[in-house]
Amino acid sequence: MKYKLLIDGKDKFKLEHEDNINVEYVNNISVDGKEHVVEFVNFNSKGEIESLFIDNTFYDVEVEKGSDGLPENIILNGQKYPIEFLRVGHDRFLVKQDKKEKSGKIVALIPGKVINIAVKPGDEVKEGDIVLILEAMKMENEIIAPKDGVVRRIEVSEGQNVEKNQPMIVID
Amino acid sequence: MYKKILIANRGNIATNIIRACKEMGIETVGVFTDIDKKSIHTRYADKAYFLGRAQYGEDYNRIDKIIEIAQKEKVEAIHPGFGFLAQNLDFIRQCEELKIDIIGESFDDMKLFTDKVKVKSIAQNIKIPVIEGKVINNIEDIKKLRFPVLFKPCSGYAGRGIRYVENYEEGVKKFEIASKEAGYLFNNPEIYAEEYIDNTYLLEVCAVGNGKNIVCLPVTDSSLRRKFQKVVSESPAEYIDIKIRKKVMDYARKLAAELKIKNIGNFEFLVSKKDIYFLEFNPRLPLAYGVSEMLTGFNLIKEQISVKKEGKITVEETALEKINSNVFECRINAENYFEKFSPCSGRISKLIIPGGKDVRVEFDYFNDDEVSSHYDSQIARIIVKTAKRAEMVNKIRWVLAQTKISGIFTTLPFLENVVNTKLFSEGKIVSDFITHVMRERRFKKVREKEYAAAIVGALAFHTENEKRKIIPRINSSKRDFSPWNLIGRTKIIKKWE
Repeated sequence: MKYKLLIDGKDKFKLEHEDNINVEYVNNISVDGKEHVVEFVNFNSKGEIESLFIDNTFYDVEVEKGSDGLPENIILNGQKYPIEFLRVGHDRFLVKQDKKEKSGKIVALIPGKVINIAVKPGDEVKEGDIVLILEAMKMENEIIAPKDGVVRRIEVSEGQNVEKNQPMIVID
Repeated sequence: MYKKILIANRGNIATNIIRACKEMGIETVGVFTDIDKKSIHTRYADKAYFLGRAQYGEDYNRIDKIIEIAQKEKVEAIHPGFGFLAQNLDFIRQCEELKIDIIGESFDDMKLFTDKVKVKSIAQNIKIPVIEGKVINNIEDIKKLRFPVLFKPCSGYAGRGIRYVENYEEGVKKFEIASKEAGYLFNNPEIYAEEYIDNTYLLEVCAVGNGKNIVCLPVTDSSLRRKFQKVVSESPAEYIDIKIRKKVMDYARKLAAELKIKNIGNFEFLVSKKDIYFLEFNPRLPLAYGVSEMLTGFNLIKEQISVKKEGKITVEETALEKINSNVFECRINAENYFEKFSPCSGRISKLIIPGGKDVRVEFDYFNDDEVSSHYDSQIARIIVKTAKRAEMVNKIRWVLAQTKISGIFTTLPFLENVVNTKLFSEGKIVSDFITHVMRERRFKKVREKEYAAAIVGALAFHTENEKRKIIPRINSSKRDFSPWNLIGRTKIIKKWE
């Protein structure tokens, strides 16, 4: 099986392994043309890899799956690597979903407290302008406009606590 | 000595204050919020009182409640740690009126020390070079500045509310936001501008004073910061010329004497290739106190308590001269370094903590604990000590490689990158390391790890595939696999289920 994948949205890797991988034995897998030796150590109750040797080095791993069931994050020795499959198989490329038009709806990506709203309805904003400051984890997180547009609605007020994914400002 | 102390803080600092009190035979009273019900500091305190629901830090700033608990428990002193109420003048005044000691400076001193611009002018008066701070009252003031500058809150601390300003236009844009934020964070909307100097070391000197004597601890280098908050510290930073370090210590000693500090404080200096500038003074326990403790062998929290109660400094200068080791600390934060260090709350699913000789590890969480977005993103501190610096570099590399935290994004990969750079082993990490060097993220170490992650990803894909048996074996058919087919199939199967 051949794979082409992206790690961290940037770094591209080409991999290839025999189609019949045997978990009891040592397997070879090539990354960007270089062979690596993989030996499984154990799997969890769901049949997911928990630890393995790669080139005789031990790794603790955890695989987080996305809603589509595909691996989304690889946690290697406690460090997370976001992963994205560009292509799987011999010659067919995955059709990349058209990038959706940038949404002007700004939601809170982490629970926090709104400490400053820098815009008011009707204001024109440019992509990258600071529109709001959200305090979370003792940090002031500057929330920027995702695109050019006009501020349509402000759904929060200063001093308000917001939950994860709560809509805050709509720009269009 | 005191019989009972209230600790008005949370997390690692609260835990360490409790530990120090235990050693001194002092009873401890803790405070906690709903989120901290099962935190380490709540468990360790002899008694712990509920402050209410977590409110993004406001909870631990509830002066009325904390004083009420202090009076009920008849404590003789309150240790505010750092952050929260440590530099809150209102709180210190109220406690003094009630004859409750605050482990730290008194109200009058604190009032002066927390005025950053004033302390700078005092330093200037005794011929210590400073980076001037100009108070910004209006747009006119911004016109007169030499850019780039940093906007800083006049009563600020902990690296909060600081903004980098490139030019006049940006200054005008950011002035209002910065001032509003300073008002929100520190009850004082005043901000000042400070010239921004590239390529500098940030050196700190922790000083202990009792109004008569001053003892300065060896220099700590905390140059590496993200979002103006320090992430690693090293002492005594032997890669910096001894003459410069001596000079920095002399300046700190001179200023500490002039200010007549009566507890522990931290003096910060910027050091460029040829110049030394005094930056600011923080009248509280330094964030990197663990580094100084590991290096000198003294417990700085115990020192604070004994200085406050008995005016006695136990740290001996002669002992400091004999120091012959290197200490390095890194702080691990719950942040996604792949996404510009954006904070990341969530549950820690697996925790593997390193150990060994001269390794001090302080985790604020247990397995399955939730890291909340209400508080600091720090989840652990790791400090190592060795005789030779080269060995220290190897040691921290190995220790970080053995540390494992699953479930949330942490700055561990970032820290591993940092300690594996040539710049780190040569002691050349300066203030702009993050902006200039981290742009190129192709560190050898990461590359190796990414190979491994890619391998695991492919194998995970394969095992998932095998489990579902959705795709015919490739060797029996030429058909290729597309995850989109898989999604489609899964949906159909789910419907039938």
